[in-house]
Amino acid sequence: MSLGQMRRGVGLVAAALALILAGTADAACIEAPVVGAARLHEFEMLMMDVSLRCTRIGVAMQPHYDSMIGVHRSLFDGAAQRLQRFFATDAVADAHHRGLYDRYATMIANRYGGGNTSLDTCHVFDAVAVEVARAGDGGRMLGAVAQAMIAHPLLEAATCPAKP
Amino acid sequence: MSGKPGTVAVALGAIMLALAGPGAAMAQAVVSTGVGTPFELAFWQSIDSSNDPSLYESYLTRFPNGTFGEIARAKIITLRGRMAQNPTSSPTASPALTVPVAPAAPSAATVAPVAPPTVPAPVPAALPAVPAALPAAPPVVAVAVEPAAAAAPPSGNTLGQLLAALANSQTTGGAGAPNAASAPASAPASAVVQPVAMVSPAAPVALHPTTAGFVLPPQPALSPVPQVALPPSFCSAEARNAFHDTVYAPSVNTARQNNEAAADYLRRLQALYDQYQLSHDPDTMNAIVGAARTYGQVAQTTFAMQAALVRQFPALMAVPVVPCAQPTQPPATTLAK
Repeated sequence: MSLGQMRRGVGLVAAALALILAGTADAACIEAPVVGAARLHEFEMLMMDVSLRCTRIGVAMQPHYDSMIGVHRSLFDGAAQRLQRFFATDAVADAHHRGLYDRYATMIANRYGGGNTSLDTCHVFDAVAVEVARAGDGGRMLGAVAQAMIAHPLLEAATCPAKP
Repeated sequence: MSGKPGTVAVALGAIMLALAGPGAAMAQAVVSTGVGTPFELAFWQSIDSSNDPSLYESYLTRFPNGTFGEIARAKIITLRGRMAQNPTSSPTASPALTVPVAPAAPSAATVAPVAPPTVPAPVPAALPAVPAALPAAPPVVAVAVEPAAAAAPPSGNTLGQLLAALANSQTTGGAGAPNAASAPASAPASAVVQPVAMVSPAAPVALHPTTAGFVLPPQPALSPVPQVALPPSFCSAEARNAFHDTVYAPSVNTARQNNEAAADYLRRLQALYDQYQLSHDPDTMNAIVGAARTYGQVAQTTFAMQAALVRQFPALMAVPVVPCAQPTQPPATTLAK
């Protein structure tokens, strides 16, 4: 891609960003903030798994991943804590949710633990980590990318069974 | 919304560039870090919007190991190919923005039986306890993602779709990933003709109500699979072909349809189970597991039947062709003198 094409690409990116920000319909059985937290947490887990795999095949994206996590640590930690509260809100709910957070974490690990990572995809994921870490926009960039990559968090399908 | 759309768009542009290929990403990184001579950069900028391949060849001649060498070579190939396809086209036509997309999953071989999916694990009666006390609720910083007022979807592949495909490529069993539900190791091929049993038609569908509003999906109806008894010999190759078309192939098709239906049913049960993973409804999950275990025996049978028929093919081809004896003509009788 030439620089001129890149400049034209930025125009396309602006339109694509608008589409990303249009958002997706939230599941009816989960509140929107929980869906957002699940999306962010799942994105973090995805990037962590990819980072580990890419490091193993020689693409040093671990520093970029760590930087991304560090820059947006409050957002990632807030998402994880919100999910923990979702799975254990009070004594009654805790009786039903016992162990569900662990199961949820296992499901995410299973979902992204066996991906097929190549050098090409590693370079792209590395670019994603770099740009998300670089964007000092209060998490807007992070939210847009996470929403594009995790349109439907696993939590939706796992807690909102389809109607028979 | 607190962000700066322009900044975000430019940042996403870098991702877009990376999505276009690692070579392009490398070039962008080189430019942004100042690597490369200013003259080379000026040279490149002077030709970057051109679609004349000779300009890129000139660049490669001048900078054989240049920063943009990969891009130049790629553009030459693209532009030359386009000119070859359409000799009358103007070299100023803008090349299409190409981006990699996840490859489609390979289609299954037509004769390879579909292995039945694994039965989901049952839900333990006692779930493990939460390992640690949960912290008090701190203030959570919300991610600033607001819906756009009116976003017209751009044509073609959008960045969002590309990022989604990228993420999907990292899911277990997703695009480009090895199939998690690999077929079990097939039995060694045997020349011995395996007897093929008949599959009884499916029993009447029974719905098992568990919790309110939930019923198990109906079991698929399976067709009886005719046995294939190979003759000791064929009179001709044509006779073997006819046997294949009229006896063997229909039987294989029926067995394959049964196996696919059974595997699809188990997949539906697996999908249902996955949906209820965190639904606080162990009764329903256990009901699904029970149904999957029960039907798993049927699926194993359909799989074995199709596999046996597939293994029968070499035996069919090995049946010797022995010319059949011509019907003997009665000896010509001569009238008695």
